[in-house]
Amino acid sequence: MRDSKQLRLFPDLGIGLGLRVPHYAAIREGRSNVHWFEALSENYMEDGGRPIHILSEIRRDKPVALHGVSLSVASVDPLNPEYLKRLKTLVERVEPALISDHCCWTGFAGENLHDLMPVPFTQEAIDHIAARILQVQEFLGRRILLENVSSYVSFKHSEMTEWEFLKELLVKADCGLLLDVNNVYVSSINHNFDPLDYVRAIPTERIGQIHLAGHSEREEGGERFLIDTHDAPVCDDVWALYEETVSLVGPVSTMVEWDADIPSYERLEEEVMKAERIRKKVAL
Amino acid sequence: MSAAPNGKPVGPTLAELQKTLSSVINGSASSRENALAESWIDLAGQTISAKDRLDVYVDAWFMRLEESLAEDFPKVRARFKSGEWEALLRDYFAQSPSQSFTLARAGDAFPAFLSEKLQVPKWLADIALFEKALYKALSARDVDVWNVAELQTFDEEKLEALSFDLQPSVTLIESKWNVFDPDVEFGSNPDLIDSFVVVYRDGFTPTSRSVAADEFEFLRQIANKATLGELAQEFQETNWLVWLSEAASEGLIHPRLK
Repeated sequence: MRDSKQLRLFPDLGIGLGLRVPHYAAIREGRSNVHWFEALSENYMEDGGRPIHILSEIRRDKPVALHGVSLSVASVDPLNPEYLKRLKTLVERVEPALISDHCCWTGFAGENLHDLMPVPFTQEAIDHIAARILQVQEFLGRRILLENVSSYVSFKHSEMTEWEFLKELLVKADCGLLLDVNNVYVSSINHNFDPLDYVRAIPTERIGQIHLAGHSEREEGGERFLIDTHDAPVCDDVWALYEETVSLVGPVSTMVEWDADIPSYERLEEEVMKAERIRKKVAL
Repeated sequence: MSAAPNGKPVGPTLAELQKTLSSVINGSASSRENALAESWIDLAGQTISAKDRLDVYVDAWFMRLEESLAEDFPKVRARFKSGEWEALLRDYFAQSPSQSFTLARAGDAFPAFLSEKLQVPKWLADIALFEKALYKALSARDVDVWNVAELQTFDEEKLEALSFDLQPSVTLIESKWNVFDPDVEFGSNPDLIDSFVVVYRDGFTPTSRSVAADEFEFLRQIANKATLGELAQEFQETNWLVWLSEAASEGLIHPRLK
């Protein structure tokens, strides 16, 4: 386990949930027991309206993490200045405890595919992404976290494993990792590797946040193939991987994502309370 | 794919990879590009094919955009059978690929696209404009409601020269068809009646109000920076004073104060 005296690059916020519209009422009525919320940055980058008003209200009571999907840090397109400006405005307004986006590209030649596209694990990609993260961090004036994505394709010309790639990238970019344990698991099934190799290889001090989520499963030619759908409870294998991760890393801000077929707020809290029990058992 | 001295296949550069995969995902790839993309995929000793793996992204691309537009344009969506709607959107995204960082902007060009589609009735484009305006109102910049009583503090010269801005949430839309009245259900076609609507936000709730032609013209002239003096000349006092006061209390306008 990570030594409690080891330098922490990111605060441990405890357990949190993704802030979603159907749960605004429950949260505003004070029916929430989680320690923090994660808001999808792009949903609050508008000029005004109810969402940013509610986020500001929630932020008065609890820490908030901002999590983006459109930074497109691996794209060969230039970074979008309008996007960065809006992100910075939001950061100044919300003063988030954590800021994150994904280790992926989302479009090419100005088109946004609105998906988290995987990168080949090459030195070219490390150099390219690291330079852009440094640029973003300089603009925002603070360190960000990058999330590992679930992937359905990997590339023959990759020069290293995903975890070797991330290890080098995190150091070179001097950023943190938002370790999505479900994504590690999904990719491990889809690309046939041991997820424990992955979590054991990541420098623990770089892991600043953990995501948990459900996925869907289909069978292809007698083999399992997983899709990161965020529409189901966290499965037992992912809980086991989370426990292993926390035992290695120590207590890290952890949240559950549930974005489709969203259950009641109470049901969602039940799910994240499992993470709290594991944190207490293993790491606190 | 050839091999490098270290035995690893020499693959595409990041730029080549992103260019080709983007075209595969948005459906614009040639058969050569599709085959090239598939040749880059590592199957990791599994049976699922490169095409099936890529199709996860292809399917998700369309599903996300379709869901987003169906949510933003529910009345327009309801006018099409599933297959027609899908074909329409594929045409739309080929013509206007999403370029914003948010899906909420993916339909920005949709009303204009509909208005140019010969097979689509013109009034559907007006409904699309209306639905887009409601979304714009939802997320427009917050502003304070201006108190029209402030006018009493202005001297006559200043009043004459005063002009106004529409608040950021406001959109004025006109149609040759009766398509804006939420209480009027129409079947295959709406009635051919000139109709006018102002879309705005009441608190945080997008709303709309049908207006008569002369009040619509009054608001349009406000949008075009007409001065109070010009408005007073153009419209009857008994009308414009009421319209101005109503527009102020609904948060539609605010004065351009130097």
